[in-house]
Amino acid sequence: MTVQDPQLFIEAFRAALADAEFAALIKERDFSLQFVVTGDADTAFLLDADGVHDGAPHPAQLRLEVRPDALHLILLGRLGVTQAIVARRLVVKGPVTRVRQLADYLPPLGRAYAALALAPASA
Amino acid sequence: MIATTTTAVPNAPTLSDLRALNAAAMPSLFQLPPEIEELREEVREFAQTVVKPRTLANDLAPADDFDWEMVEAGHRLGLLRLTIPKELGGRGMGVLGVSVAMEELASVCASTALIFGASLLGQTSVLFSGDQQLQARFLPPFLGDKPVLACNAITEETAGCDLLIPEHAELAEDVMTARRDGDHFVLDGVKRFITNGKVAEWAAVFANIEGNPGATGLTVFIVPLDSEGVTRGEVADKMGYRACLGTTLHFDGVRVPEENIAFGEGGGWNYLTVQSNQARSIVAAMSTGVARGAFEIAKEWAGERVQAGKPLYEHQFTARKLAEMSSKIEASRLLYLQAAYQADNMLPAPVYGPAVAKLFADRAAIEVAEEAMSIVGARGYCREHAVEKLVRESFGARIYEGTPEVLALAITGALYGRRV
Repeated sequence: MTVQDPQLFIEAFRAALADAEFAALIKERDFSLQFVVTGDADTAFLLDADGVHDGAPHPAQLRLEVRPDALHLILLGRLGVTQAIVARRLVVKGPVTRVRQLADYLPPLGRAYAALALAPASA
Repeated sequence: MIATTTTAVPNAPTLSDLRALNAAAMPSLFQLPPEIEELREEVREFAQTVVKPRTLANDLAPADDFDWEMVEAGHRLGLLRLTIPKELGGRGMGVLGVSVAMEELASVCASTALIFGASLLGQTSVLFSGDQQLQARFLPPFLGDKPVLACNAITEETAGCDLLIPEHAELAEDVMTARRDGDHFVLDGVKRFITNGKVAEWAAVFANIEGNPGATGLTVFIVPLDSEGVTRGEVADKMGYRACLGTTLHFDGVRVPEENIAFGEGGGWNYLTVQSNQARSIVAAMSTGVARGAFEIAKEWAGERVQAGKPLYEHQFTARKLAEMSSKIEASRLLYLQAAYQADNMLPAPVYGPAVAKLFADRAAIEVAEEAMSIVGARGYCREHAVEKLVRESFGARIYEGTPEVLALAITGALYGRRV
């Protein structure tokens, strides 16, 4: 898988949910996050306390529309969420007040993603 | 000599009666959150009891007079920290809350609304940057006991719309420059018509980094206005919006540390378009307020004034005017509520909804104010009458945050898929 493959994000986020502390945070806040990875064919998946699900099984509290290259950079901390938004590389739909909470969720997701994306086998 | 036959119409419901009736009995698509309804009531009270009694005096005062007492009262209410998150000590309002507050203020005095609105606009650059260092340095003044204002400095002598339309960036001429000098930038240029420029503590200044054609290197600098090289120049002697001070700001070799940049070098355009789309909902709300203020005066007059043996509102021609005025206000309000809701639920805020709301509401304000003056007649044409001021103010919002020409390009850009 390359960084352009949305499956890489799905696998990474499933791995992140294996972290009990992170999973507990999601559950405690009853938080859900839908990603729509845009490109030639959009890929949608939803992350909540129960796992990562294909498509949109229920409405999410925040929906992130983003190209894979931008999501790659965001998760690795190379592109700030604000910078991505103002550059229109990321569109966030849902209560703006909740966007600040992304700061709590993105680092664990990013760590799990880095472990997969930067591993030699995925190069 | 003006004839003065006026008779109160018995049992005529007031606008507030009707609104209360509507609120109690009418289903609505827009059930505002309780904290926004509370804010609306607080701001309405402030507008009626503090702003309204001073409006005429502030309007007739010399162009550079400034009513700090009124601003201080608004600050006590929290109007200068409306959008600062609660966890930082602010009121945590989004675009919807600010819009509702601005409609209330503008229904009494649009220029007072703009004093607070322009300060919030300046703050937005610091808030939205997500830069905690900038936030720690530039937001605390708004949380103290004394009122402090910010401003947003974009417009220049030769660059008005050229600093609002991204496609004009390369064509903009003589834009304020920022020259790198070590870990500082040196700003040179002149900003014009900067609301609060005369009285603000700091400004979000948009300047083009030297070496970039036109304004393609537009960058946001947070600049304390007591910096060496900043001169606060003349205050524009405006037709309306006289309580807020549209000021010329001169920047002559002003050294600004690079950590005062928000959104990175060259990030000005990206931010500016986001900011404009948020602000347009708020300005649409202000225009709605102006229209409402004028309408309320006309409605009261048409209920009291008797000609040919019956109140004006029973004359068909006036009735139609009142009905159309009321319809335009309702439509303006729905459009700005929808646009503000979108801005609070989508980042970056969309182009289309806010632009449509502002285009419609700005036009409606002019038309409603003009009809209000027509209904009130000779009194409404006199300086001491509130409707005369509202007519003048109705033209203001058509200029700032996007003229009809700029909005038309934004709307068609969205319609034809060039912008989102």
